[in-house]
Amino acid sequence: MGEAEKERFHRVVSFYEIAAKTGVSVRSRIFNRGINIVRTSVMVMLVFICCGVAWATETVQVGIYQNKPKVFVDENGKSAGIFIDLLDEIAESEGWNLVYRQCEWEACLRNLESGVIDLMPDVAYSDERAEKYVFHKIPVVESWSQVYAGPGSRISRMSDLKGLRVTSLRGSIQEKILKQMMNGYGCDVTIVQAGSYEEAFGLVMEGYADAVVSNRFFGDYSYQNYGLAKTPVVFNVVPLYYAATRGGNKELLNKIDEYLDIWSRESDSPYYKILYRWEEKPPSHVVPRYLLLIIGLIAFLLLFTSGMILLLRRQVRSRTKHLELANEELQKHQENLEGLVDMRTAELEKAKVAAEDADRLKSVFMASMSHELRTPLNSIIGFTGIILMGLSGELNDEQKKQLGMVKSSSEHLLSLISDVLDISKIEAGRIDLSHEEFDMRDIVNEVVITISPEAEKKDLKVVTEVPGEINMLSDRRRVKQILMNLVGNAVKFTQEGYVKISVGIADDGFVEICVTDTGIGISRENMHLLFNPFRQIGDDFEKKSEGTGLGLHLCKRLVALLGGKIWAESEFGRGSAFMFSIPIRSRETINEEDTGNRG
Amino acid sequence: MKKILVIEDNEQNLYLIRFILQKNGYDVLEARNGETGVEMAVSLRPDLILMDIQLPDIDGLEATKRIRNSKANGDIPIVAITSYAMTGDRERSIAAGCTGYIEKPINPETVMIEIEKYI
Repeated sequence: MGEAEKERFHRVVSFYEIAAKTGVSVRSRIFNRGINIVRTSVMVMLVFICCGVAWATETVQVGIYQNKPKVFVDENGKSAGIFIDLLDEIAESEGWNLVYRQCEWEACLRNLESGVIDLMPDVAYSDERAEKYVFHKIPVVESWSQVYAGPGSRISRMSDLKGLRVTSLRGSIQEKILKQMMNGYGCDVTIVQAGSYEEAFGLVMEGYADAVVSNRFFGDYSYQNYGLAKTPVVFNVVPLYYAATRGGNKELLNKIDEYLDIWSRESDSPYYKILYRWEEKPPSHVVPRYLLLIIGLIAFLLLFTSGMILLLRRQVRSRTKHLELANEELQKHQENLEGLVDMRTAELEKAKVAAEDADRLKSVFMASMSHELRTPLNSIIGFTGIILMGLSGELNDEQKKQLGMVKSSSEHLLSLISDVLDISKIEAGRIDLSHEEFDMRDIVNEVVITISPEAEKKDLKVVTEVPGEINMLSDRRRVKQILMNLVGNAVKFTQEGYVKISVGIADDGFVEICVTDTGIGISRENMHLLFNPFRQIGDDFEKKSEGTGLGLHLCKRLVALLGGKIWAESEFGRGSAFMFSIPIRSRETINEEDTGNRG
Repeated sequence: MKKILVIEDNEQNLYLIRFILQKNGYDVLEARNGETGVEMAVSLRPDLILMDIQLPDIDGLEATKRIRNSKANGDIPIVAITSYAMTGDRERSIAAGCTGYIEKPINPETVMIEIEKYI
């Protein structure tokens, strides 16, 4: 298949497709010169090919000039516009070879008259023109003159143009008719002539004129670009056609009428598509400024928000990562710490157990000391006593004296042990005080009984001064221990005279016990040392008496434990007085009385 | 002759007390631990019991409680021999049912006066 045949075949197929689309009635019109639609397809094909061959040789010279959007050459040199697109569409179907010849309007018309070109688009019919050219019958489009107003101008009828500056294309039909009409209305209008429609619209946009008059095609196509408003003022409706050279190919115009007739009935035909392509832009393109602003603002906000979200998300992610890291670190530290704490706790537990063990050992040791040291001493003291009493047989005086020394030393040793144990108990905070009811007189009597043998040996009188029954509640044994200690000292340090025990009741619920002697007394400088541990008054050996040096110190501690105090008065060489006062009823019982437990 | 049961684990103390008691005309029964002491107290019904608090098996407090719980011996005077150094021995012994107490070291010159208060 050669190139020419290929092209021909293509055209035939195209045409067949168009014919098929337009339906039976359309097809019958297209083939109204005897081609029957019920013929076999082969025959139709043959006829098409014959026709195709005949028209394919047809070259049509078309004049073209600048009249956007009806007819024009765009910036790329391509012919375009309503008339051109329509003609292209028909030529495609018919297989015409179109050749566009660019020329000025007047020159184009002359060329058409002389037959240099075959066809001119966009020609208004007039009798004068009908003598020179041939027109087809169905108008391609109707044009009219339309007034477009500048921003702020309100024009709704012809008379509104009175006194305004109106621009139009120099020498155009609109200019001519506008002048005639305004003269007819008797209105004065200032016509501003422009070299082109573009210039005319530009003048209104820039404010040099109030309105512009142009054909409706250019106007509708362009007024929005210039920011002008369409007015209802229209005039001079003119149908537009293609014009052909007289005596030229009549088939051209017939074909054009045929296509216009068919296409004008089909809403989706190339005709309407072309008109739509070049007509006024739909008003939806006009978006109010505030809407644009709002949309812009919303878009900006959306963008901003999205940006912020992204930013925040990134920050959150980075923070989360930081936190996770910190958390891990913390956990590590915590585990570390827990380990340390566990270790320390275990150590402390061990230390506690050890301390408790030590404490228990100490208590056991103290108890053992107390028991083990005393038991043999008790035995020594007991048997010495028996022998001294003569229960085991008579003793001579020397034996009695020596055994007396044994007994005295044993007793001293026992009291030494007792004092040391008592003081260590007090210092360890392990001394237990008991609270028992007793009569103070009994204590005094017991002490007197105990001390009497000693006192009688030195020929000392032991005197008591007790007002009557004193019902005490305290630690009986400790009270007796204190008194015994003081009385023992008094007897020890007194060579002649007496030892007196006096008991008195003070107003504040205290009992005051005073042990007075007529002994050696204490020098003033030694007074302050009295109650210190391991102190014995006197500096020469002979004066030094038996004693632990702990007695008064222990008394002081015990009196303090019982909630009282101890003090001494003395005159050196004449005697001493030791006094202590303790609560008659110890704290525990006062509380019991307060809560009414006494019955 | 009145019978005195001495429950005491220390031989020397026991000897000492027995010596003193016999010298003062008492019949002395001896027990060297708590269990034996309780049995003898119940079976021999002494007129008085001298009870050491620190004993090798059951202590004097527990022995005192058991003797007190046996109906036949409910009112036998029991005198505790307490250690001077052991705080609370006296209170505990009275609480356990002892009639009285004497303190160590035993003073031969005064001990009989104290014991005879309870017999």
